[in-house]
Parts: sequence; structure tokens; C-alpha cells
Amino acid sequence: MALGDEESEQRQRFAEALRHADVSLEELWLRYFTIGGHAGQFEVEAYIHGAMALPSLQRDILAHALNERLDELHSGAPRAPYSVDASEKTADDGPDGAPDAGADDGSE
Amino acid sequence: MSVDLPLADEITAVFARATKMLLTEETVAHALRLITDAATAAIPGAIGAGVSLIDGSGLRQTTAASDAVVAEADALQYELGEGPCITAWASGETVLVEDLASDRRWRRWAPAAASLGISSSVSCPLLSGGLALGAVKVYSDGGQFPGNGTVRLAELFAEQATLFVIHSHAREAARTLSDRLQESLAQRDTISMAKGLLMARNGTNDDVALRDLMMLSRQSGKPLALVAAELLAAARPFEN
Repeated sequence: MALGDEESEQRQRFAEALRHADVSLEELWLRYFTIGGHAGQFEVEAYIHGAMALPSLQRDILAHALNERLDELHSGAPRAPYSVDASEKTADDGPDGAPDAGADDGSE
Repeated sequence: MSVDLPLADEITAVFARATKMLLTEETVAHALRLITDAATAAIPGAIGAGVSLIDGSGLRQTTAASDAVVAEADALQYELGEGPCITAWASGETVLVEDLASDRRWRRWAPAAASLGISSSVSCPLLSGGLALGAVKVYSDGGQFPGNGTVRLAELFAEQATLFVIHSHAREAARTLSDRLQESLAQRDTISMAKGLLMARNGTNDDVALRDLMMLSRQSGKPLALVAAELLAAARPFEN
């Protein structure tokens, strides 16, 4: 099956962020595995290449692993997006602003 | 000797070892020995064959030798730091010695090997990817050896030996979990405990707990593993 729109969008922005991360797929998978990812390296590679779907939690863990890598590099590159940001807003009134507007102040 | 395996391979190899899917050390040694015997029997004029393994730091060992002459000629190469097998390993190309007595490439090794009764040799590198793992060599005491057919045969035996050597490397690498993997598993464990803590505290399931951890990590700008460790540390009120 083809990737859904939301997943496809997330994957494309992930792939874009990956270009700035200077990290091998092997190393990225290890980081993903370390923070609790369940998918195998094959599945992760297939997802990155758009050949296979991953559940949203696994996509987000992968995005988080990549973002931690970008943080390490103090990279100014855009971070990989999370699926929850697009589909739902946090129930509690946290300090983070609305994700849709372009007024992303990038604080913290 | 160890090689860097991709981590997923490493985990796979650990399980393969645990479930006895990998050949034992004895089986691999026996297979290499059979290859040297086969090479000796198949190549006209050959008096013996051997497999040398050489790692990046220059540590050498002959893991299979069809007889004592081969073992001795190889030991001389390692001792003197020169010889056709070392050249084959270093260059990644087959080294043919047609007439040892008149060969000037290894001034110390050649006369010593000649005194063992060796007059010619073929050494083929064991190649895996871009890596030279060692060499297979066939020594001869004369006759029609060595021609092009001999070289091709020796290379075929080298390819065969390479498969077993790669296999034994995977086995070696899987003997112990690498530091990198241990560290990864320890962090994963910490994160799992922190998930459990959040689940108990908030009455949520593990997916939600992991999302909570990711959110804490994003909000604090700290790595997820650190956030998890801090949560666990803060949850020990009776520590004295």
C-alpha cells in the first residue's frame, strides 16, 4: 500500500533533515533502537526510502533519534517532524505554541 | 582478530551462536585444513599449502598448513616480515614465484625457504570487500608448476577459504557483545524503566509513556536517555 499523505509528508521532511545529520543508516538505526524503537534495520531503511509504512509511534521515535543527532551537531537544519504535532494537540495547556502558524519562535 | 559488524548483524550473530547456527571453531579449522589438502592434491608439483590470517595490526598466524614444511616457511615469513604471502596480503594481488632461487624480491626469506626444499610458490590474498584478511599459498618443489592453470586453481581455493574465514570472523565478533551494543542496551533498559515509572504514575500504557518521555526530552532539550535517567534518580526518595 502507498503511504498516506500525512506519513508521506513526515517521511519527506525526515529525509530532508537526514541529509544534514551526517549519520549512517546503521548508526541512526542503533540510536533509534536505543531509545526504544521496535522496527528492524531493514524496515527502517525501507521506510526512509518510501517503500514501507511504519506505525506513527515508530516514525516519531525515528524522528526523535534523528533530531537528537542534529542537536548533537548543533545543526541549524530543520528538525524531523512528529506525527502527533500534525494530528493532535496536547491536552494540557503547555507552554508550546500552536504548531500550524509560521510564528515558530524556536525557544528552548 | 575481530571485524566491525553492523550492529544488526552483530545481534543476529549472537543469536545465531546461541542457537548453534554458526559453525564451530573446530569445523572451520577442519574445513581450512581440507582446503589446503585439496590444493596440495590438485595442483601438480605442490608439496604443501596453507592459509595465513593477517590482521590490520600485522599480527599473523597460519591457521591451516598441510605439513611441517609449509608451517616452517610461513613462520619464516612472519619472523622476517617479508615473503610472498605478506606481499599478496599487502597488495591484494596474487604473487607468483616461478623460480625462488633467482627471485630478488625477498632477499632474506627466499634463500631460507629454498633451503627447505621449496622452489616455487603461488600466494593468493583472501579478499573480503576491500579488506585483505590473509593469504592462501601453495609451495612446490619443482616440476611443471606453476603455470596459469595453477594460479587459477590457487585463487579458487583462496575464494573457498575466504568464505570460511569470514564465517569465523563473524563468530569471533559475536563472542561478546561489543561495548557499543552494551551501552545501547543499558540505555534502552533505563528508558524502559522510566516508561514503567510514568505508566504507574499516570495510569497510561507504554506507548503513551514513551511519547511523554519524548515530549519531556523535546521540551528540556535533553537527550531522551538522560531525561529517563533523571526521572529514575528523582524517584528514589529513600536514598541515603
